[in-house]
This record gives sequence, structure tokens and C-alpha cells, in this order.
Amino acid sequence: MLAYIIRRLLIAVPVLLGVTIINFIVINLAPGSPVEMMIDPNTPPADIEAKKDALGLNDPLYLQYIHWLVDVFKGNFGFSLTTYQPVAQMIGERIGPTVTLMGLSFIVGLAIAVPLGIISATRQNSKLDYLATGGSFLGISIPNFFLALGLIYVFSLELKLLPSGGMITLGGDGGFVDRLKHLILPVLVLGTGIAGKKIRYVRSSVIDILGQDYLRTARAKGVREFMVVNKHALRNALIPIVTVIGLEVPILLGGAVVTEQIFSWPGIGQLTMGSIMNRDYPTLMALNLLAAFMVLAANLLTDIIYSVADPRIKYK
Amino acid sequence: MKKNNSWKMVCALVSILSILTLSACSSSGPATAGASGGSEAKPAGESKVVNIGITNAPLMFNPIDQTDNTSIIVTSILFQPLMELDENLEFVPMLADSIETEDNQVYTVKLNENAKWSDGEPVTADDVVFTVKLIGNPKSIVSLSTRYAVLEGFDELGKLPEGASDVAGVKKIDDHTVEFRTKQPVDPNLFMEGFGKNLKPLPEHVLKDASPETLAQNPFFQKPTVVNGPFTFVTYAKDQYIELQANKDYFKGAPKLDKLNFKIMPSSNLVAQLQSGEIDMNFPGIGTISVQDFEKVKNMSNVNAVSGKPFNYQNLYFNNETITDVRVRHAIAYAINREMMIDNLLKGEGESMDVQYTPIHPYYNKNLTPITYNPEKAKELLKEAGWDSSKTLRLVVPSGNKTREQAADIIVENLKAVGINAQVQKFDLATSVQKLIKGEYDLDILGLIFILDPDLTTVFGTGSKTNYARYSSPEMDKLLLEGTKETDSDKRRVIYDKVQELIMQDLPQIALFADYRLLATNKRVLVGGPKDLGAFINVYEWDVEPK
Repeated sequence: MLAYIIRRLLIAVPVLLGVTIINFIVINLAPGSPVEMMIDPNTPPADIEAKKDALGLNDPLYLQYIHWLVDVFKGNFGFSLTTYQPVAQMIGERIGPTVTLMGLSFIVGLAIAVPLGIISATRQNSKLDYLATGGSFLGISIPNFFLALGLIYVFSLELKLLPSGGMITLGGDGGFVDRLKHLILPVLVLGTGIAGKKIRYVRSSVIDILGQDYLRTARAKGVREFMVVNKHALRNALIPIVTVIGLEVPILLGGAVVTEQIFSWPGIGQLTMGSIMNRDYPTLMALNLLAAFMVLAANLLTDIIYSVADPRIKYK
Repeated sequence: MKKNNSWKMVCALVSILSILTLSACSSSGPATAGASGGSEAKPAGESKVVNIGITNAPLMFNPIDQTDNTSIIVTSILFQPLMELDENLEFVPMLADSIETEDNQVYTVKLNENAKWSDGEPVTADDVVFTVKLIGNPKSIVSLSTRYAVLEGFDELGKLPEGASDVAGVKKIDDHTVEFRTKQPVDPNLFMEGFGKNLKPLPEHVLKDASPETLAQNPFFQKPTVVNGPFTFVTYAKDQYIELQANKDYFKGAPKLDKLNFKIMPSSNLVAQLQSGEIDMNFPGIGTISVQDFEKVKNMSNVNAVSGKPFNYQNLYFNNETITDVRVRHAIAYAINREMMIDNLLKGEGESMDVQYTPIHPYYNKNLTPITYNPEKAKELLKEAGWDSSKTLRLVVPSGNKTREQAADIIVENLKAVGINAQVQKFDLATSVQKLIKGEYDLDILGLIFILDPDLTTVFGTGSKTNYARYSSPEMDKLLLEGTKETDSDKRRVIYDKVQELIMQDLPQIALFADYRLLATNKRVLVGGPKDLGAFINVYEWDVEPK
């Protein structure tokens, strides 16, 4: 097992390197540069060139990449080309809000999906099943932005109960209750989407398990139906769900671009969007590296958890 | 037992969740603690706060390196310019009491003697000289340094020789007087715009030890602690809001407001928050209300809605290398139904124009014959030019401005009606500007902003990198050179009248229409509101009814 983990970690190094090279090429192939994004299209060309020189954007591409790579190995992700803040700091201050928002949304989504999935699996083709699967279909189908705007209209504009955006009230105390109020709508939007997807996984996974022989044995032994479902079946049904969740951990850090934008949530998603629009190369490189790292780490972690949860799986 | 197990899992999840929430709270805790400390001094009911709704988040607050509109607007409240341009196109004294010249070459700037930095130090001539030298320092990262090229001692890029200490172009006369000297006489308006409006001095006593190479990365420009404007900087909560607080020692008088905040939101929320009173106004350029929403805003009982003036316009570039025949360019201009666009698309909130000065520009030539919708004439011209109707023109349009995107669709239909095939290509702004630079387009629409000085060398001069139309005319080059050399504004007017006549004749580009910016202010605001130019000149006099 240990040898397996070490081997996976060693493979990760060239993969990450390859990812950064591809990213670097792709973002530099995109037309425009941070300097050409300057406000006025009639900016004198000499000014554009002077600034490009000052920022090192006129160096050959391979040199720019090597500079970046050397700095990264020294633990320095460089400075943003648009705000001149250290990139690590820019990402650091947005990880908290994103993890809060996405973490809560995941928990809310799962808290809805797991019980509903089990219920609709155990009572297949009942009214409740139709309601749950119908609800799940709706949750998947409603676009986030539409649901978000609808909720803002109802809860912020008409009922005036909840703020329409931001993380804390402007000029307010920024306390726990205030933060919670700002979280409700975006978490509801994201949670609905997540729940919609997960209900189907849980349902099909439980249905699959319920037909297994050992459950028939359990029932034959006289175990109560409640126990059969919630202990014997659920435990095994959750294994494939763990995989699905594990693979979605990177999304947890990636943020939700659209929802973050609508609710002015200061997370990674908004930073990514802004960096793309401004062609902020160092920030984009760091964000991509972070994303790649998270995907690899989540994959590895899922594989490990899998072998722990399911004794049939062994890595050599 | 079994139930206990699942409860354990739930408990674990809940504790993870609370850790996540708490850690997020503590990460941004200090900034907000500082902010709330300030507001607690006054009972919330009595404090006068104005919230301005904007859609574009600022990048930084650096007055010598400004790359986005929100930064420019907020920075000029914090760091006052020497002069500010108002909507009547007159310069209003800000940090400078006066800027005077006798020979159009030596400009004497008298600073307001009461001007103080927020830490109590006076604003002096040293600060101005320090800032100019910093901009000229070859190592510092600045935007728009080329305008300093007119000053004595600066090279053609607006930079100083390495290690220059004495600069002929800018000299301290006494504590409150600075003398600028240009290489040649220049139009006073050019000086006023370039140096009066755009020079915002930095505090020398705070930044003198910072090295120019790394100055841009200085935390001062993320959180400017020492400023000289009517409001001081409290906090910028990323992507959420910028909070400013009244500077009671402001040299023109203590502001009547306690706080001035800029709230960042998607444009879809602007109208809703205007209605709910969460924001008191929008701001042109950085918080635009769309024409589609404007009717609704006009009907809100708590809001005054007005349209701005024709300062900004949409420009249609012709690629003169692919559309070489001037008759075809004219034909395209005649084929476009701008009257219909203004009536239906802009709902009357705009006006038609042809040349690159809007009708309120002081150099606008009123004697030009405007190009009006005339499809028959367009067809005739195309026939004369022998237009090959199998060709398809690429019409590049930046995405993001719905009105502009629809205008592009109308143009395609208009062109089709006279027998020209065109196809809309939408790209994000960076990509479409790149297409312009590389000439990978036939037609391209771009929004342009108001500039007081009439010089168009970068737009029409042969070989200029921003001559996106790739237009070249020796006659135009000659006129433009004459225009930059002439300092007398009446003589300049004659030259630029000719420039405009030549534009109409050769039609390297055509301005489509000036689209008014739509402005809304809550009725509780007694003094103040958004404007196209100089809205914050009197921000210290702004007043609201307390909420």
C-alpha cells in the first residue's frame, strides 16, 4: 500500500509539470495581454510597449516559463500583473469563503440527497419516489443563475428577509448571524444542484444493493427491515457514492463561478473569472496548478478510502 | 449501536462544517473589526451614508498606474488631482489653486496652501516633484507615461535618464509652487488635461524610501493609509465593497457625509438594489444601467433617473486594407440605419454622429453634412465600385454590451439589404482588441471614451499601432502634425475642422452613435449624484437624508 502511494506521488510530479506547461502555452496563445486590457483602446502604443517591457512580457515565452517555474520551486508564486499583490496572498484570502460556501453546499446537498435517495429506493414507484426523482430532475435542470435570481427576487426584493449578495453587511458587524444570512441563498442554490445529482446516485446504488443475496439472508434471519436498509444496505451502497464525492472535492476549491458572481461572493471562482478576463498570467498559472494538484490529491485519496471501505480492493 | 454509528458520522460532519465556517470568519475578521469600530462611534440612525452601486471590481488604488475605471474613480477621490474637468468642459481647481502660463511653455502650478495629508503633513511642492520624478523613473511601472514626453528633460517615452536628480521639466519654486517646463509650447488645454487632471500627487514622506522597482507591489496601493481627499480609505472587501470615511480635515471643508461606499454587484442586481434602497445611485462606466432596464428605473417612486450627455460613443472601424475602396466604405455607412437603432435599440437615449468627436466636443465641426440612412445610394455606390457580392465581411464585436451586440446584428441585416454579406464574430474584449491590432477583421465596433484634446495622431497617423483601421493619408498626417504643433486654440480649430472634413471624405472609420449613460439617484440624496465627468468635484458637499 505504502509503495503504491509513493509511486502515485512520484507520477504526480511529471503530471503537474506537464499541466503547467500546457496551461502556460494555452493562456499565452489566447489573444490579448494584461497590458492591452488597459482601459482605453487608444492608449499610445509606446505606453503599451513600455509597460510590457517593465512587466517582462516581451521576453521569449520559454524564458518567462522558466522564470515562473524557478520561482515556484522557491515557493514564490509571483505577483499578479493587474493588482501587483502576491498571488499566494490573493488566492489565500479567497480559499476561506470558497471552502465555506462549497463545503456547506455539499453538506446541505448530501443531507437532502442521502435520506431522499434511500426513501425513493426502498419505496420504488411510490408517490414519494416519484416526488424525489421528480425533485432531483428539477434540481439538476434549473440553471443556477435562474434559481439565484428567482430567490433574490423573492427573499431580498419582495420579502426583504435576506441580503442579495456579499459575504457580510456593508457597515454591519460582520458577526456569525450576519454571515449565516449571507450564506443561506447561495448555499440553497448550490445545495439544490448537488442534491439533485446525488439523489439519483444514492437511489440507484441502494436499489442495486437491495437485490443482493446477503440482504435476503438478513431478512430471512428476521432482521427488521429498518436495520436491513440502514445498516446492511446503506453501508455498502455508500461506497460508490464516496467515490463520486471524492472526485468532486476539487470543485470544492474551484468555487462556483456563476453563483459566486451573482451573489458577489469573494471566492476562487470570481478570482478565476477576473484573472481570465484580465489575462493575469501568474494568477491563472497558480490557480491552474492548485486545481491540478487538488484533482490528483482527491483521486489518490479516493483510491485509498476505497480500499479501506471495500476489502475486496487491494493495490499492489 | 448501528444508529450510533451514523450519528457519529453526522456529528463529525457538523464539526467539520463549523470549523470551516469559523476559519473563514477569522480569516477576514480583522478588516471588518476595524470597519465596525469606526461606525460604532455614531449611532447608526444618524450617520449619513451613500452607497454607490458598481459592477466592476477595482484592481488597486495606485494613482500613477491606473488600468481600470473603478480604480481611477476611487483613486481620484482619495488622491486629489491638481485640476478636475467638469461637465461644462472647464477645469475646476482641486489640489492646485491655479495653473497659469504666459508663453504656453512654462506652467506655474500654485498648490492650495490648506491641503493636508490625512496624517497631518501638508501637501507640498515636494510631493508633486516627487511624483513626477517617480513616474519618469525608468524603473517604475506606470501607465500612460508618454504624456510626460512633452516635458523638458524627459525622453520620447516620458522617461528620465537613469539617476537624474535635477530635472528641467519640473521645479519646486517654493513650498506651494511648482514650475513645469515643456520642450515646445503646447496648447494649455493639453497641459491641463495631461497634468492638471491626471497628475495625482503621492505623499513623499510615506513613500520616499520605497524602491521604484517594487513600488507597484507596495501594500500602500492596496490600502492607501495616507491620502489628501475628502474621504479616507477604510477597507476594500474583495469583490464586495469599498468603504470610505469622511476626512474631517479636507481642505475644501469637512464632508457632510460620514461614509461613501462603492458596492460591487452583477449588473442584474443594480436595478433591484436601487429599488430596495440598498444602493443610492449607480455610476456611469462602472455601474451601467441597460436601456432595457431604464424604463423600469424611471418608474420607481424612490429614484430620480436622468440620461447622461453624449461623451462616449460606439465606433465602427473599417479595415482599410481589406475594404480598400472608399466608395464601399461610404456605401456601408449609408446602408446602416442608425436612426432606427437610436429610436428602437437605444430607446432614444443616444444620438447619431459620424466623426470621432461627439457633438459636445469643443472641436466638433458643426458644418459637416451628416451621413444619413440611404440604402439606394449605398446600392449605387456598390455598383460603381463593382462590389463582389460573394464576399463575406467579418464584423467583430466585443461581448458584454448587449446593446452593442444587437447593433451588430442590425448592421448585418442592413448590409444584407444592400447586397453585402457580413457575419458577426463575438469575442471577449481582450480578444477583439487583439483582432483590431492584428487586422483580423473587416468591420469592428468598439466603445470609445471622451478625450478633451483633439489630437488624433494615434488613431489616424500612418503606422501608429492603434491606427486599427490601417488608414494612411499624407494629407492627414500633415494636418495632424500641424495640429499638435499649434498652440492657439482658434488656429487649432481650423486645422481640426479640416481633419474632420478629411475623415468624412476618406471615411477610414465612422462613429455610429453616442450612447448616453443612464443615471439614477435615490431621492434621499439631497446633493450629489452620478455624472459623466467630475461627479466627485463637490463630493464634500454631498448630503442625504439619514435613513
